[in-house]
Amino acid sequence: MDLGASVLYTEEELAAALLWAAHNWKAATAAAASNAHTNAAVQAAVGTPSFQLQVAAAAADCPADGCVFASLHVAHADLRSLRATWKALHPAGQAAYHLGVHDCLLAPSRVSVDSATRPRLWPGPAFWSPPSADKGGGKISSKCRTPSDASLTGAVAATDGTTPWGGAALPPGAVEAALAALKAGVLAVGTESAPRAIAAAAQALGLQNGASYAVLLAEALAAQQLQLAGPSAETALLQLCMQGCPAAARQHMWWRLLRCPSPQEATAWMQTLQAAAASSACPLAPLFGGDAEATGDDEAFFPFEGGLADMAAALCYDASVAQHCAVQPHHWVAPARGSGELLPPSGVLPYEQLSSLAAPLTLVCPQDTTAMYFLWRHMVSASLLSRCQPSHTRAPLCSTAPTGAGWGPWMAAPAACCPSSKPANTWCTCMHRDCVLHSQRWGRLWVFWCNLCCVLGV
Amino acid sequence: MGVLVQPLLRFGCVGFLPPPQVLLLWDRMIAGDDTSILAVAAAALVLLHGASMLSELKPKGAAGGGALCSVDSLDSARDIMSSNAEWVAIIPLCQAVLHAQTAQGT
Repeated sequence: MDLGASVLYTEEELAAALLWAAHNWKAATAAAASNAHTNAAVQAAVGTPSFQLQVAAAAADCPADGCVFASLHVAHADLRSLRATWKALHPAGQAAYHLGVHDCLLAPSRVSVDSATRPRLWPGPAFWSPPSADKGGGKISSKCRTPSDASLTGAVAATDGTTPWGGAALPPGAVEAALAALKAGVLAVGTESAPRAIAAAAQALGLQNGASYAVLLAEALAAQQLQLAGPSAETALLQLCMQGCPAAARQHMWWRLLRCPSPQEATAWMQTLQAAAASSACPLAPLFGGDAEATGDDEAFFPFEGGLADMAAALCYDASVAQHCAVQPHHWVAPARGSGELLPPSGVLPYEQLSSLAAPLTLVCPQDTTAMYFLWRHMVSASLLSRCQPSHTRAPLCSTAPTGAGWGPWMAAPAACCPSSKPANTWCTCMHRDCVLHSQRWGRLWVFWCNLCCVLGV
Repeated sequence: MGVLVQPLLRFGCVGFLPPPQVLLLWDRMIAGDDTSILAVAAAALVLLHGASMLSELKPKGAAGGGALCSVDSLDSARDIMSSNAEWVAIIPLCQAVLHAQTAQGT
């Protein structure tokens, strides 16, 4: 089924897309509230009457309305033209980020979904190429050479009643009526008449054409909320993730794509780790904590310094990390004490800026340290640290257990096994030795702690 | 240049791009189950800031450049990359890099 930009979508699809927005209303509202200049950025970048009307109506009532409506309106635009004028919409990036409009602007048309095989997520340049690849990419490439290029910094805001991409704006009266109907339909979510009302209102807004991104969102919602299993649900999530997750849905999408445990299991495990941290004092815990503190000094992440410290402490004591890893422990991690006990219990060596890998996750789920930690454990330790592996395996899709030979300078957290299949909750924490003792300061600290452990016999 | 790019790859561009841009990059990394996008992003950033960074990386006293460069110049080059990150949209930059490769291939 090809859902390219030129395909007309059914009322059911549009209703599902808008229902997604309704279901995520709370998250979208929180996202908009945390970004006060959202509406202003949209208005400045896309100065059309219809946009201004939507944003004004949204600002008077609910900031999230404006974002959602704006995103859907942008989704209606011609994607090919938008790609060519992406720089004009760049100031709206903050607003777009929260709802995924960025990828509506930039993403290619949707590829065919083959439920029998894994989608070609990295199919090569053709996937990335816009329909007019002969011109679009060249324009971008030639105009983003230097930061001083005025074409990159200036927002092109159309004021003549047309959208920057050349589409005609909707009559103001029609927009008002449609917005009212749309809002009524969204507020009536859960009733039988809501989908039809939403679909009709969306059609009046001109959303019946080119709303591929909204349909993708709807599929992701269906996969997420209905707890669908099987390749089709995962394919929908992967497709949407490849085009960029909306901020409001990123936590749930990553959680599922990375095959994290259920929230109940995660919470219970986190409590176990906190208890372990309280009852036992790992001599390496200060290294984790110090690294988290240094990361928390960053101006972008300082509100989450506490969460980063909790995550670092949890990673220090999380023995399951070691159990799921693919390679044997380095002798630094497992001192020759005969007990088989690891130091630290997780087997992860606290190299400098380890916590910086977790910092962006504080923005994905800012109020949920447990979710933050499990995303970090599954995604960061798998995808990023395992990048250092010569065999390029990664978890949770870690395919084969590397043999002991040839690892040379590569260090890894210990592992019991890594089946050849791709089980859930399997990941690797492998790193180059240069990563571990990245700086002289950390090297001295490491030597100090190792010596201290040997002296104390712990 | 490898010394400059290594932190980009090791830390997933954290610190070199605004957090929203990092997350967009990581979206692709998770969906594709592949960290190649980090290499593409690193190449795009180097191309974007290439001229100014190379001038910083040139060893003192060497006319044509060399393999070694001072720590100060490396830090300066990283500062250039980080200070201009506010306006960078990493996904279209990656697309531009891939498009350029396509054009050269054809």
